Amino acid sequence: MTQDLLQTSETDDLKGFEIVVGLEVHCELLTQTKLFCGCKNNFGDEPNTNVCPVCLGLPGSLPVLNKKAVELAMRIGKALNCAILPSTFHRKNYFYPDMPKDFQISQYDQPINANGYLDLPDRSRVGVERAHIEEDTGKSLHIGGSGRISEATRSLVDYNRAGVPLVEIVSAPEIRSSQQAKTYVQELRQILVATGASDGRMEEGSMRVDANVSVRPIGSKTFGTRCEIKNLNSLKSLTQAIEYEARRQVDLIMEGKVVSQETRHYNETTNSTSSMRSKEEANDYRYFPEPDLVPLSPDALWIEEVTSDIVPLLPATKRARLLSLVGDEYLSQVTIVVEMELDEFVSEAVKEGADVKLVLNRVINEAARDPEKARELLVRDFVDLIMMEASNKLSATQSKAILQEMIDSNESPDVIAKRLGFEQMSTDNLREIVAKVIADNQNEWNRYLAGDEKVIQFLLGQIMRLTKGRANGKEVMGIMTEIKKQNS
Amino acid sequence: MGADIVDENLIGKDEVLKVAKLARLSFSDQEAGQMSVELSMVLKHFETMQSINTDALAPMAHSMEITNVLREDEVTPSADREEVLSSAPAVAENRFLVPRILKEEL
Amino acid sequence: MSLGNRPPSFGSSVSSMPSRARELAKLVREKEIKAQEILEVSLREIAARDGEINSFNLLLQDQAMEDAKRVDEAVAKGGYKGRLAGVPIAIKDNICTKGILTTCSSKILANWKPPYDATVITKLKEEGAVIVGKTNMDEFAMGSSTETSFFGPTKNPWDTTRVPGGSSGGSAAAVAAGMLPLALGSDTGGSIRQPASLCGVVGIKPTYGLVSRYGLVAFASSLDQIGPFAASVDDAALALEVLAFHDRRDSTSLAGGLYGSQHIKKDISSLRVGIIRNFLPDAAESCRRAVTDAGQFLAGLGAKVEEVDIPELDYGIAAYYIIAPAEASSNLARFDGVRYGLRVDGEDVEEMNIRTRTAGFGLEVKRRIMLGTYALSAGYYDAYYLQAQKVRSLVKEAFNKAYQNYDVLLSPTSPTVAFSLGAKVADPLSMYLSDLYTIPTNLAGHPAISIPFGTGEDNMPVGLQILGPALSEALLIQVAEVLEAG
Repeated sequence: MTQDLLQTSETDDLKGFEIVVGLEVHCELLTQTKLFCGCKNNFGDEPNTNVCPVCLGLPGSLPVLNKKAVELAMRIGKALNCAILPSTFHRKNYFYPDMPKDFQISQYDQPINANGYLDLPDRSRVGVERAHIEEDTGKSLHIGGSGRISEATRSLVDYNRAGVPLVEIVSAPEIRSSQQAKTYVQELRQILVATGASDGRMEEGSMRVDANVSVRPIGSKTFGTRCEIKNLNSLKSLTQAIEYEARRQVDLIMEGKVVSQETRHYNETTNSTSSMRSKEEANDYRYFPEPDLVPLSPDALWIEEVTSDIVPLLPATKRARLLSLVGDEYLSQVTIVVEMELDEFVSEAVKEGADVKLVLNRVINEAARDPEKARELLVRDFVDLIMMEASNKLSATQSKAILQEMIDSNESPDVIAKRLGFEQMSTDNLREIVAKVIADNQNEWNRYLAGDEKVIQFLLGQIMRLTKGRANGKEVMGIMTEIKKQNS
Repeated sequence: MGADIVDENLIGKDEVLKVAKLARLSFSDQEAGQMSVELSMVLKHFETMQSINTDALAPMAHSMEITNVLREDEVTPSADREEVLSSAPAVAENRFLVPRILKEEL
Repeated sequence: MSLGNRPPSFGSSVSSMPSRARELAKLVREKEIKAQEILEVSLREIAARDGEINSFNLLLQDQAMEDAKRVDEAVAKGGYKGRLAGVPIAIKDNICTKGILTTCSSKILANWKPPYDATVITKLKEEGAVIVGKTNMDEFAMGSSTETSFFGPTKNPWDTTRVPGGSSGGSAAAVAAGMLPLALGSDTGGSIRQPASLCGVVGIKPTYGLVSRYGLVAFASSLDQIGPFAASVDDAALALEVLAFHDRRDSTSLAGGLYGSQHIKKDISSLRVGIIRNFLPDAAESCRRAVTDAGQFLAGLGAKVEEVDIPELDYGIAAYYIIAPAEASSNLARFDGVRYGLRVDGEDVEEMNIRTRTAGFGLEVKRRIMLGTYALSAGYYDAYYLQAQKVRSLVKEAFNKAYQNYDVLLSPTSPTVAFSLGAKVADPLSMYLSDLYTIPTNLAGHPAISIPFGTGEDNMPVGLQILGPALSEALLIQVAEVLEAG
């Protein structure tokens, strides 16, 4: 089933190997305060102004768990079909200047959510091994050189972000192509936004994706050595990095070399990955249970209270709902519409009788420019516009132009049509112009009469020119066909 | 309780140096040797516990059986930045200044 | 003096100055005595004796005076209820005091002033106590003699060639020397009880979670507790009452209202006492005798007293010396020269970390960090840390079983009376073994009290430990008071 998803362009390069990808997504939670203290969870404030003894890890400070963060984590777990379990916190010990305690409070062998899955729009399923809670680190600025860490002479650390709540979502290594990886991230992003857990902004860093990539001969059941790829700031980086890395590994293997297990950094400019660790020692994190926190044991009642409203909010549910209204053949359009959060809008328009195909087309093509604004359109106005186009009162070109304006100005289509001069062209008027074009282009007309269908485009083009685009294509065709009949 | 002579150190000098790296401590060769002896003595004493059958026992991470200690998601005042930075060994641009970081850890 | 080297009690140099905190506070509230007067007495005693004893890392003369003045003003207004009104108190230097040096007796924090007060400090101030200074301790609370302090050892007021015990040696000595009636310490494996025993004062380690740890610089988070030193059981009980409350800044803090007099026996003759027999053979004669004498005394009042073997407790020390260093190795990682404390520069951050920590930590601290890091590291976690946590369960279960048959248990607090300065420094293992009798209580999270009970070898004080199940402090105090009076 997943084999069908492989882009032939990908597999052609891979000489009989398949790609195996697991994704780790860190998502910053939309809470007011940090995970263990009451400092503001706010991006962009002045450095070191949202800090306190707890998130600075000052000697003597102690963590106290944010209830909202736990609830959002449970919502994520439910949305990903996980079991929501009793869990504990662990310390992950390592030294790094952006970690105030030089350990991170995270979850280890008893995470809050485990054993879930994500069904993608194309019906493939990717397992979700776990989605656990942990605290974020501070941020360092590297000074000297080009700002990249390897050339820096010193670093400046801001702890505003230290202690911000994160949920880390780890997929099973069941992704088999860069496209599937992209779809997984898109779907996950929608889920995170729908559950209210995150704003899903990859480019802003509130959703960070790392990819674990390995390759193996097609049909093999064992896993090859995997590399972790970091610095994927967009979907484009994600797909390109996976493809580059897969090819790199295949090349190595074909040369008889060994793929080393390491962490690699993706470079957008060169579209390549490079090794990050100077030595090949894995960090020994010395996990042990966090003694300053007590275990979490959510009861069924609490879980129910917190997660019961989720299913209708999920993209899969919305897609199913809209598909049952418009028909399964529109799956790819519906997927896009749901992602733009315009499914309700489309649904209402269709229910008011607007033509399904037109509605979908216009929404996807025009509304995609600014989905947020598009959501504010009055359904009534939109339906009017679609009906004007459907009844040939407006051409496609005109309809698109009006829709753009509607999105910007929120005026009704009638008003805009008048302002743009898109008055309805009378049929008589149209006939005159068609007659003129026929008269001026006798050669082409004769070819059309003789059965040359291709020359129609030329004739249509001429008519459009003379009517300044106001002619309705279908109506024109109707007239020409009529005249053709009259002539035969 | 005198110092028993330990024939074969449970934790050798090389191991000591490896552990020291993890703990960001440095020892001279002699110090590492001494540390190896002392730590081995303590670990040897711990060996007495290895014979206990602990199969039926759960590890005890907390002495009390509390669960679900939570706080509401409400903002409380943060620290005064001046005060916080005044303890710092080095500051620049309202941030903590450190020498360059060689190994990237994301 | 009838008891050899016994130092004078607080206020004994001034007639009509009571030595007990409870009485002092009452007189202050009743406007019979001023807080400033009491403070002056304390400062005089400190000036006279601390040069020799070295209890204090920091003395807060002017600040303490201002605090005392403020208490007097509040009292003058009328209706003042502070339970520790005007009582001078010393604070172990690992408890955060806002804007005031909190060094943990370590070079790495020698210049650190926390920007916040520990919860217990806020509470003490609310109740009118006057903080006189920060006391010396073993570095980061790691030790049993106060000899690992960066600032040099504290001396035992009974015999200044001997140690006061540790790690809260400074606080124990300050009370023992009559410098003030109350002091705070912390106890992870015996660091309140053992110095109390070696200095002839009362020390209480509360049930884990009873007193807030917010603001206590962590050594071993699952074992640490703050507790009081006093010259009498009643004063220690008063301090504990003040400090035992729920703190929402500490996730391990017990709900309020759990500690109370509901456990007190109506009648000592209904008390069932177990003497931990396996803790006797390794103890010095005087320490053993204190226990048997106490047992006989209680039996004389009608209590049922028996010897009981709890062999599992013997494993406590081995488990402790894996668990405590493991937690400590993690708790002390934050001392990296980045945000506060000592920094020794380096070419890069890693080098800076290493140089800072190597220069800033003393040898004992380094030993424990190394031990702890090793015990947690890959390949050793199961054999050491996990196994130790299981043995911990064993110890707790053994105690619980014993408490089905006994209300309280008795043991020596320390295997010996105070030893000479330098005697155990070269042998870390022997130093660790001084905590043989106190460690199991920390592992189980139970409370225990040490009271002075007679003198021993070389006229040095002997301590008796009374142990009880979780939240039995009121009972322990009752039994201790009976023994104290007898």
